[in-house]
Amino acid sequence: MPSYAYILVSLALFFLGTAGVLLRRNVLIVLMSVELQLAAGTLALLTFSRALGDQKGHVFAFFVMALAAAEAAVGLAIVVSVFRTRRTANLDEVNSLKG
Amino acid sequence: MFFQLRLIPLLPLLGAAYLILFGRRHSRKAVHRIACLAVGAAFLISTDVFLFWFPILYQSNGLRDLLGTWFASGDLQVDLALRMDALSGLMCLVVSFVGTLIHIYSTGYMAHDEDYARFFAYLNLFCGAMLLLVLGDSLPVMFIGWEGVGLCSYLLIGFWYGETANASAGKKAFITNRVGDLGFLIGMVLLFRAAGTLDIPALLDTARAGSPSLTATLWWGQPVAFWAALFLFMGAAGKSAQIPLYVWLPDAMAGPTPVSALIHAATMVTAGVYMVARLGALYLLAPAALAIVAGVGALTALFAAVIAFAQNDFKKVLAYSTISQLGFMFVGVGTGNFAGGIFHLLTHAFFKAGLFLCAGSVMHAMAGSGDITRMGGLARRLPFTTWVFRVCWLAICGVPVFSGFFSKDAIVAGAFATEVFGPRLHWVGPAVGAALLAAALGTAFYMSRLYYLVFTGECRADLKTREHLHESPVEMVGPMVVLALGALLAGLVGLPPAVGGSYGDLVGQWLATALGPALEVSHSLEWRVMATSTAIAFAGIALARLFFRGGVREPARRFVAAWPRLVAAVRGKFFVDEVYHALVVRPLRGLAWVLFSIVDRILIDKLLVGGWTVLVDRAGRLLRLVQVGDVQRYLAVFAIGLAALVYVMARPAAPSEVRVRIEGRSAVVDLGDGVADKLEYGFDFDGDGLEDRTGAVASANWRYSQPGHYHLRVRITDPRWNTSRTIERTIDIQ
Repeated sequence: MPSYAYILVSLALFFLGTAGVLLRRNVLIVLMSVELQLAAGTLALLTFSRALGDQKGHVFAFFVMALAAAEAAVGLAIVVSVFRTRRTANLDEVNSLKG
Repeated sequence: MFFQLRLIPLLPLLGAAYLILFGRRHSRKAVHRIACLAVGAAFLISTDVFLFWFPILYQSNGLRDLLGTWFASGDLQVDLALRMDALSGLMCLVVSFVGTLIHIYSTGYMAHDEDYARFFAYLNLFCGAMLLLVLGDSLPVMFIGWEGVGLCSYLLIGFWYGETANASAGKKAFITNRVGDLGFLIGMVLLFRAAGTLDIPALLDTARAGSPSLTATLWWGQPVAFWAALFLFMGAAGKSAQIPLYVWLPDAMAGPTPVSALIHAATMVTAGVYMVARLGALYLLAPAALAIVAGVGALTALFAAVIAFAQNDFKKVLAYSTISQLGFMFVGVGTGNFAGGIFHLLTHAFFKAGLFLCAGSVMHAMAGSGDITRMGGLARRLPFTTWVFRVCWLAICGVPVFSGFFSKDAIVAGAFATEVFGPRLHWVGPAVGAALLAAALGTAFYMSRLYYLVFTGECRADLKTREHLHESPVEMVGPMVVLALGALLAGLVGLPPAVGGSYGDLVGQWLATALGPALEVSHSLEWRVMATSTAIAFAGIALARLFFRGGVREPARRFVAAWPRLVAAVRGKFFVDEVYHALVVRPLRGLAWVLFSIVDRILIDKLLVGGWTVLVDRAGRLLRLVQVGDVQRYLAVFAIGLAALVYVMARPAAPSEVRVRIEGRSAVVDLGDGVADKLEYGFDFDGDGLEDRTGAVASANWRYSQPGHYHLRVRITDPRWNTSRTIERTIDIQ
């Protein structure tokens, strides 16, 4: 299969993820959408890595996975903490920084 | 060259700096030793230079000591230079000599004062500034000294600043002098504009040559020289306490008495006279200005003498007397009789300083009071003071043989004989001469009144003061005796030709190189003036004796009863202070109030300061609407921004250079190597909107069919992103 097919999948994943981040109300879904974006990025890295014959893309894919794990840990901890104080996981109800 | 000259002002200035910084650490003895030594050394160096270079001072422009260029700007170059010639040498001797004597006197007079070191520091600073004023070779250097003595005057008048009246008197002196100094500055600028220099010798050469730059008409049909001279005289009138700026001098008596003697009698107040004499050649170019100087001088001499009739404070009488005598000096210089004016300055320095020191001695004995209605009969208790006072009194009254007689006559005779005013203003000379004779009568009267009220009759003070009466210590009496000798003998250096023959007028001959030849006065006029003024002096003394011998007598009481309103007006100093208060101080206060309440409170506080806070507050209220607190909306904005950024960054980079080469009718456009590859280019050479050349090459050429003015447009496109950039040029084809 040509590389551009993978890139198209990556793009589709990224836009789906972006749409999820921007539009969904539930924090957990938003976090999952962020994971989707990261997966899209990883896929693009791997595709270009193979197409250009450069191993650096693979290395970065591992970095992204480590980062995603850390992000999930911190993000979920924040979600738990927010839920404890506010009894809600809806993003549009968490707006105490409103000016 | 002649570097001793710089030591003359420098030593007292260094003394002042040292005493201000470290004076408090030293004992009184050390303080006055330093101060007296600094001024005494300045006097000795002046004397040394004066005697050693005697012929040069006499015959030429004198000695010059150049310390360097002070500043240079455009055509203006001002050197920090000192010059001693016949005139400044003489002044230098007078100032440093009287200064030294008064330093010595002060060691006794101020012995019990707490701020001993501060007093001597100021006194030293004054002597340094005064010597700088006298020796300054250019007007700006002179002006530094001029301002320096003004500062010292302010500091010393308010020396006992604990009392508000003293501090106000200091401020009054300073502010009144500012008015005059503005005139000095304007005069300086006018002279620079006309003559292109501020060096005094160069200015005088320009004036002596009658240069058209100075005689050209400036305003109201009067030449530049007139206006410059008039504005400079304004400065002189401030410093030398002439109408209309004399009001500060009587109040200046709030300072310690040695200060009154040194600054407000012998030296600083004569600076104006010195300046006019120094610039004599300039004044001679403008007879109208001379007439104003002489007129103001005569008016002041008469006016102040009349006010002195009814003052009851020892020092106030002397203050009005000083104003009056300064008027005499201005008549001298104002009638072109510069040597006469300077001669009177010299003798006045002796007898007036002597009189002030007597006042100090008397007040010392009277526990600080100067009220002459409480004095009387002091001759028995203060014998030395009385003798000194008698000599100085007879000198100022103009009794023959005493110094004041000769110097006053030189001025009066000069006023009658002068030719400087020209035919149209010729009447000015005799008029001011007559006014001076009247003022001389007044002088004899008020000075004799002072003598009789203070030293004759019975003491009118209370018992405690009477028991306290004592002669002053030797360090006070010593300088007084020296000044009395000066008051007695100083006249002998300026004998009129009628008395002393052709070599009698030493001062006039000495100053001839610096100030021009002395005024020619016929012997018969000389004798007539001398006879008249002798009669006038004795008449004044006799009248005062009749009125005041041994206390206020019956004729005086009858006079007051007959003219109550006249006496009240004189006693109230003709209410000049009150008029100035109504005409100047109150309107200025009103203006200040308007500025405060409108400009300051409304414009600055409300609009400029408050306005900005309101603006920032409103802007904050508006901008807080942007902060919605919703993470997802922030993210959406972020995403849109990022997309915009990517679009902008993805445009082809602008070429680093666009070269257009024209050869005859053909033009070659080359975008250079700075442009990335894989771009497409379109060239429109003739500005018709259609592209004449396209392709992937960054250069193209075109041949025009006819000459003209063409609009060139180059399009650069990146086909991967479908973005483009356009560059335009206009070219001329011959």
